[in-house]
Amino acid sequence: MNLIEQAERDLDFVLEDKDSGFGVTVVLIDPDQFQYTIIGQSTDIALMIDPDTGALVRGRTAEITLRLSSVLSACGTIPDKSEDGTGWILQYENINGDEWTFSIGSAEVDRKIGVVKFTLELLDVG
Amino acid sequence: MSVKIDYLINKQDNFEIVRDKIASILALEVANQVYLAGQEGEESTDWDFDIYLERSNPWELVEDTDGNVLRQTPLVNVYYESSTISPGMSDSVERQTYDVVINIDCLSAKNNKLVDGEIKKGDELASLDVQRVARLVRNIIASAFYRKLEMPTIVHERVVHSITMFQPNINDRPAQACIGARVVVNVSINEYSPQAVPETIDIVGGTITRGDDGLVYCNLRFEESDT
Repeated sequence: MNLIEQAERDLDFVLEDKDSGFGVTVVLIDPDQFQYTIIGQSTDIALMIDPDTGALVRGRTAEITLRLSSVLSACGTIPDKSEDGTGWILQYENINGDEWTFSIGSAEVDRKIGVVKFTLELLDVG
Repeated sequence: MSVKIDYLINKQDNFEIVRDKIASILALEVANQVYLAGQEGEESTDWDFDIYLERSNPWELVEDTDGNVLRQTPLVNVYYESSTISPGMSDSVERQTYDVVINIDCLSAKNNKLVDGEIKKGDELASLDVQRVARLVRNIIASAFYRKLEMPTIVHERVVHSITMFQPNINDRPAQACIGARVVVNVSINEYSPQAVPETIDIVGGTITRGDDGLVYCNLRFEESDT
């Protein structure tokens, strides 16, 4: 086993350890409303948005990183945004027990190490 | 060297008055547009936005603790940018004419929205929303009713010079879409400054006439002065 293979295996505890690591449960919902549950890591922090008007807007940036092999195994494809409005939806629960619903802004795949990072956009449901 | 201006300069300059006037015109007309929309059975929020003056601190218009966008109502910020003298219309003593630039920044923030199973993108919603606001601002300020901003002794003219959209920084990639547009209004105004009060030395009256041969005659009459 070379180092890349070893690194991919390590994603098991680096990304997907919910019990003693930083893992969070992520629910991916496809356009046909089928749900797939995967463990991954989240980043959800404040961000100063610069609309270029001279005054910043306090905002937020949210990302979810998942193991590529787990995504492909569960979903059969890499969820991504869709310009025709039929994109995937992603939900997760943060440390305070609040559940957030997002659509996918972009899916950036690292095929060397085997991870996919989703940049998220808040979604108002209903 | 002694003090020459012996009174308190406690007036507003006209560029400040114009800036405040533009904000008050917007506030007044937007309130009326909301009312008119209600009268005509329209969705009045489509005519609504909040107006601020000279705000430069970061806006907190994006979300509350539940992640909902706090201000579905967009906003505008009216602020003064610059004054540039118009030399041909100014003198160096009393009155100067300035081209004043007032910026009206419009901001809108939107989340993506799931409607009947379809995801409406927040960037599109925010863009269309902020352009709606810019449209209302332009129509109000460019209205013939406000050609001189109701201050004909101060304002020569006003013109909506440009509307510029700001695309969000691609590196930000925020969870909410926030889009800005700037409406630039140029206003040509008079400014006045403290003047020396002249001392009357003598009072002279006269009549200037031209003779048959073209010679110009000047008949002066000197009033008796107090001194």
